[in-house]
Amino acid sequence: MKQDEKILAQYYDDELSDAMRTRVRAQIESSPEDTDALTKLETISHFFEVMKKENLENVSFEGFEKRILNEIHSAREPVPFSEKVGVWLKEFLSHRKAVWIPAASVAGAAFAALLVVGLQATSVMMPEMPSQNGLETWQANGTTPSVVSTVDVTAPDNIDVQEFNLETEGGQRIAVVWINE
Amino acid sequence: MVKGTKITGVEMFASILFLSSILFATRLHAAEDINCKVLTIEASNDNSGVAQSLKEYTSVFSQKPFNSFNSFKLISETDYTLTLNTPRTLSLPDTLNGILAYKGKSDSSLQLTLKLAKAQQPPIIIDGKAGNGIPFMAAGFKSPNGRWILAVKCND
Repeated sequence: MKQDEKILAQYYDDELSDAMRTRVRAQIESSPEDTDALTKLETISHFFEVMKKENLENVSFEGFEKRILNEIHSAREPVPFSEKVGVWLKEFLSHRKAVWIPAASVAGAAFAALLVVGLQATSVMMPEMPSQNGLETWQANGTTPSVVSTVDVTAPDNIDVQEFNLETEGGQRIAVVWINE
Repeated sequence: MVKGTKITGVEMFASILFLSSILFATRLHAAEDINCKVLTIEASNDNSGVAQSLKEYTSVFSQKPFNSFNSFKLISETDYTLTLNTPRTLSLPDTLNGILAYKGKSDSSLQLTLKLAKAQQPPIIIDGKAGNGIPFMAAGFKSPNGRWILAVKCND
């Protein structure tokens, strides 16, 4: 009985179970047709292997990576700005627990620190001072000071310097430094 | 807004707080700046009197040491914005060099330092305290026709 070609091919490729293989081998040995068929199978297989080897030897991989990269670059389309922003927002907001809440803590601390410093260092939160028109200076008791500008001079020994307090028309006194050249 | 993403109240509050702190810091920085005017006046004896723009100083110019001159001309009036502890170089005539710095506030007075020098000479350092809009003056350097007077007047 002639062996099925498919089973013969599986026998050749060593894909059969041991029991099946033993049975098929016995069949092949007892059948000249199957022996001939197996020999043909071996010849064809050998022929394909030789062809495969020759083809591989003729294939050149030079510049292969560059060609692939060029194809990828040419296929790539520019991403619209709105899409970029959308992706950024999505990424940012998806990590809000890791980003926003610590940021809020830092901002809160910074705000509190600035508030304290601001209250101490500036008049931002203080009551408005009375306006000054150049002729008067505000004081808590409401009296007009007699001196509204003063100076303290440091000059080289060889330069004679004098200080004056001159009265303005409004009755205030301003500081004048006279340098005798 | 990206679909499927919600901003919670805490996050909104954090954003507002963060922006407020930036605004506050900006305002704080601006509050440290003052505006100053530097008047360059030439005192001489060319009988032209006190310039109209200097009338407010007429009584000052009638007193010593200015009373030896009969003419006062305004040569220039330059505005400077001074930031705390950041000296500014002044634009002054001749070979006169000047630097003005704001050192902060004491009571209601502005504390200023004016450094003046001629050419390569050592500077004269004038530490002035003046109320808002109240000038102090440094004068006496020789000018082409008499003497230079520099009046420094600042407002916060």
